[in-house]
Amino acid sequence: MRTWAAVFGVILVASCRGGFVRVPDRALTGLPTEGRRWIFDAENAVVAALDGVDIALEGVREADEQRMRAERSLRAAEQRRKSIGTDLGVVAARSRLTWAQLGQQLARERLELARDKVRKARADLELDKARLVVAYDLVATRGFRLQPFEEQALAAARRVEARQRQVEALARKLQQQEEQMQQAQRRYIAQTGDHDSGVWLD
Amino acid sequence: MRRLSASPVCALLVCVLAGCAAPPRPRAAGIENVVVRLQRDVAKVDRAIEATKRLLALAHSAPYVPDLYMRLAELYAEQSRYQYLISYESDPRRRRAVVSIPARLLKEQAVQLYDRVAREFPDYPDLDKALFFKGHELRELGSYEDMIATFERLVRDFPKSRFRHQALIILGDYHFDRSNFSRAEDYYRKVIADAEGPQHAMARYKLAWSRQNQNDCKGALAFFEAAARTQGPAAAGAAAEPGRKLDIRREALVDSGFCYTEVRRPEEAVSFYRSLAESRAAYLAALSKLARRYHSKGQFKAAAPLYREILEVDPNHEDALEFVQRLYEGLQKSPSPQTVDRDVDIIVRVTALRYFNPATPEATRKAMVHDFEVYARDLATKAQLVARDSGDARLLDTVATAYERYLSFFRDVTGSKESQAIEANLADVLFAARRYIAAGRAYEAVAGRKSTGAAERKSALFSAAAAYAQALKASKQLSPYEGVAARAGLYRVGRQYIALYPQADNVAELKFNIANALYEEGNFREAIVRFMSLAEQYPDTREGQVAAQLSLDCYRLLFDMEGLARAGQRLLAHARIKDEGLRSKIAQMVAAAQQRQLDVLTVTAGTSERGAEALLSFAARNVGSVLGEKALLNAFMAAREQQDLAQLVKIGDQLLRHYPKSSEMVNVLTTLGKLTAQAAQFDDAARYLVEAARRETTAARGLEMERTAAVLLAQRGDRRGAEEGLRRLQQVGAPLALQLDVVQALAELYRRSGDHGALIELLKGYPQSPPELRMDGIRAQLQAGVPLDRLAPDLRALGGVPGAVGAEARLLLAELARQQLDAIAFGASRREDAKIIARRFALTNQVEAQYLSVVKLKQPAQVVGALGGLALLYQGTAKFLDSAPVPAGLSAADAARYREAFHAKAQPFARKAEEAIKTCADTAIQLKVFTPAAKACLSGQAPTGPSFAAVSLPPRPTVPEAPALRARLIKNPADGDALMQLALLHLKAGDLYGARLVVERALEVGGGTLSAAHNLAGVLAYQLGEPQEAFRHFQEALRTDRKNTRARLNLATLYREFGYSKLTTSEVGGLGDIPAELLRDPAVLPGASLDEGPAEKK
Repeated sequence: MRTWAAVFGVILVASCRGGFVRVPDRALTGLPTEGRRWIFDAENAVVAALDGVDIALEGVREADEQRMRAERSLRAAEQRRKSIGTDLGVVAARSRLTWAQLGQQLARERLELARDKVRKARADLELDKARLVVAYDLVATRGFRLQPFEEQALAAARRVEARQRQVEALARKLQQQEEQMQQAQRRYIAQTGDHDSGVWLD
Repeated sequence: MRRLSASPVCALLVCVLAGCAAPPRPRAAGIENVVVRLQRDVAKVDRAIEATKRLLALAHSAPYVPDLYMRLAELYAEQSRYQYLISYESDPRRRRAVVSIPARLLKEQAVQLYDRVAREFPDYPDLDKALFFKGHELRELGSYEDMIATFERLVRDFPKSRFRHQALIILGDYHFDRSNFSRAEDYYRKVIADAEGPQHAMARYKLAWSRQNQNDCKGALAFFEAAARTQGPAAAGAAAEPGRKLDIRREALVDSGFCYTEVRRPEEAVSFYRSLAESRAAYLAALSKLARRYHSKGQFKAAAPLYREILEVDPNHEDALEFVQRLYEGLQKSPSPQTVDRDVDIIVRVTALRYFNPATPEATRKAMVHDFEVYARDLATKAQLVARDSGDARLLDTVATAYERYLSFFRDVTGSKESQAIEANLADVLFAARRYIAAGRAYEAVAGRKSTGAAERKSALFSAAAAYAQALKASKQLSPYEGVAARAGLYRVGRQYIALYPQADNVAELKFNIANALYEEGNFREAIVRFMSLAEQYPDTREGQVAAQLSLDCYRLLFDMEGLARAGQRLLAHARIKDEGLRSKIAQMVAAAQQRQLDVLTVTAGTSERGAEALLSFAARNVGSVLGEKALLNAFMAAREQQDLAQLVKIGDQLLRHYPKSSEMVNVLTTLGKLTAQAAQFDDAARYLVEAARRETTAARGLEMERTAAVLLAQRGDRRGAEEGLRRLQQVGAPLALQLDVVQALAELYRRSGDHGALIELLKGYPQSPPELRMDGIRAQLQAGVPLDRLAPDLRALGGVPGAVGAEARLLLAELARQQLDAIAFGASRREDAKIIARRFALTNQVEAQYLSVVKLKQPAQVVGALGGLALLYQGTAKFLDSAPVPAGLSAADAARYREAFHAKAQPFARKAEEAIKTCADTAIQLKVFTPAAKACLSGQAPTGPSFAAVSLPPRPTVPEAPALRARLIKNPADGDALMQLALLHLKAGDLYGARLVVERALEVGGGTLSAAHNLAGVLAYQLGEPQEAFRHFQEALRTDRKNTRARLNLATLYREFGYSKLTTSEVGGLGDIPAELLRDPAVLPGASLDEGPAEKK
């Protein structure tokens, strides 16, 4: 029962988001070569955007590893705490973990950005097709209009831009955290003379 | 009886004793007993002999009789062999030279039968066979003379016989056995001389032995080799047939050993015998013999390779243990470190085979393991010494292989105590042999042993790390797997070493290697962390310094220029990094990175809408630096490209604040001035121009800017700013023309603000100003109450100026004359009154002439003014005459007549005055003059004299922001619609100055809004006290667009105000229905209405 409810929920959410406007393939059958070149270029942009998703996924993987390392480092610092008689190591390790968590968030946000870019590239592709339908006076559908495609592409571009802002904001935050992390590490080193923990050993 | 009875007893006793003394051998039955089998064969042959004899008896004349004889002879010969074998097998000592009488007899019978065939059947086709068999049997009977004769006959009489070669061989062997080698060789050579046959191998083999026996080893070896190489039918004959023990080729190979040692070089032996041997067994047999030969001769160096070869080919050789020992002995006496890997491998293989063989006795196993471990270890360690001294990498590699082989058995199987030392040796050798990954593992193994001492462990761990690092240095030669293994090893060992020995001297080197491995691996982020740590921990060491640079290089490879710059600055801020060279390099890298970052941001800024923000952010992070300045300049350029005025102003302000001395500041400010002016932000435009002028190094250009700024400020109503601008121009001695531009604008400002004193004061400093300005000054003085007669010299000076200024000056002079005329009054006596009247008339004519001369100048306002003046002149004269005093003493009637006479004289002047007013009004209507004089005339009144409109404007009205409109203007300076909207906003805000400037721009732009612009310009002119200018604009607006309702309404309003009733009616009539709210439109004059107003007086 719960499963069915979940499925219906997903369907409802999907339907609320609205459909993706496409130019019917049959409308482009009479497209001349020059027009096809446009479409190829736009399709290439989609492929490039998909590559971007792969790269972002790799970034997520690296960020996950970084976080795991930071967690290990924190555990090691906690174990060392008594023997070295200061909390600074734990503080530095926690700072590093926060930095790694932020890095993880940023990587995930970059992944979403890459996905948004794919959506944008697809919307641009459909817009290009729609423009070609108009430019070459092709027969598409009854009451065919450019406006929905333009709106779709514009909306996609806005999503990308909004996401880009989020990514930039997170990147700035990450940079600040990195500086804090370095300061914490420096304080720990100044107190203990231990340059190795958190860098060479953990 | 006793004898008889005793005999059986004795016989029994003998038998019993015999049985006790030699117990009967258990005789196996059938095929398992050779003698029984032979006896059975004898019986079978017997039966065959009997059958053959029966046949012979039956067929004594048949053609096959010789065949039967031959068959019978062969059966005898066969039976003879069986008999011999029975005797041989029955002999417990198994001597070859047994005597068997039956065999001999049987052979002799066979010989006789062969003789019979030869004698009785000379044409028998197989006679050669009979002779050969005969000779053969004779040989076995020891009848050599007969044998020789028989074979000689065979050889002689049957040259094509297939038994000829065998006969020759037997003949040769006969002489060979008697050491008559030359004779023997003759027979052998006869064989060889014939075509290749089955006996050739034997002939060569025998020849070889003959040569060897005659000490001709070279010849002998050649024949041995030839025998061994024998191919074709000869090979078939030479090969060991089933049941035949002799294999000539094998024998030749084995027997050649003696002469080989004398003739050929030892090192060729293996290849020589390998090429000759047809089987592994023959090869091994030959090599074994040769090796023994060398060994016995003391040529250990020659023997060792042979033993090595034998044991490599067959480690399971029956003499392997002996051979290993001999090999070791040989290597002891003649060391061969180059083959130590093979030698140790042989020892290990031989040992292992026997070690794991359950048949090997335990004692043998123990002794073997003990001895052979020593052999292998000794060989390997000695080879290591040689390799170490020579430094030969290949040899080291060989030694390493030997050690590995050693350990594979003596450590892993037998657990030798010496293997720990060997492990350490192996690690050293592997390292020296540049097998670094293996060396690393070997060192790790040494370090990992519990028995390893602390110092040795430390050394081994560091050596392991060094080995992995070395491996990674030649990473191009590594396979991907090896690369991963080396890196993993380095990280693993490095971590251990750092954890155990954090204060060790070589930790810096190790850390550097780890970081460098990460760098080479392409794991730059991890490498950065470690390089930075290294650089900060060991700033004075070479590792630390290189690490600092490599950390920055990692950022470069990641294209993270911002990170590079940040890291570089962090390093530069590090107090312990003191090396000037390093600091300089880091600074250069940082600068280059920042420049690169700036370039990237700049390129992005050109393509992205938010690019300028990134540059501004960069500039904020680098404020005060050259890069920060560049970033701001680039951001400025990007914003300019994107026509983002707000951003431009923001950037410009930042530049002014942080980089006031920037060399690009003038251009920036000029651009800002231009763009803000374009966006109708005149205050800002003036401010930027002033700032630009202050920084401009070119004097002329700076003065131009200053002039423009001051004029703009004046036009904006910024009196103080304009005055300051003029003052600066005066201070620097700017050309008069520039100053006058500002003076003119300031004069206008003063005039509009009603500050005549300031205007007068301003113009005092510019006596050579243009006529228009001088006229402005005169007007100001008049408005300030200066008597007109004091201005006469100036007016006379301007009277000759063509145009409106000259006409106005003349008009004012005429006014002065008229005012002076009005001062003439009647005297006390009649006689004087006549003179006065005459003088007045004369002067009236002069003034009239002056006014008429002004009319002739055809300047509309002045023409109307002159006509109005004439009206005043005539009215004044008429009034003068009407006011003539009646002389004293006249009667009332006379007095009335007197007054009537003067009134009559005044009437013409009064009529002329009215005509002048009418003419004035007509002229005003005709010329559309909107002056107070015209208004007076149109109302049927004579003007009151020169008058000037007084305007009072708020000095600094609020400026509307209107960012959207200004942005539109930045993008399109010719956006007339935006200009008009902006002008209206200025007007609504009470900023007439700004509105006027914007409208002027709209008029320049023209286009679809030209009519509206003219209309608004007219409204502004009207409000600034310039009705004539307003009229002109309204007219232009209607000329451009006849349907411009506002312009028409405004024109009607203007007409109505000045009394142009007809024109008002005409314009209002053309308006039709207009919405009431239009009357409240800012582009419509206040007081506008659809009323036609009072008709002008005629």
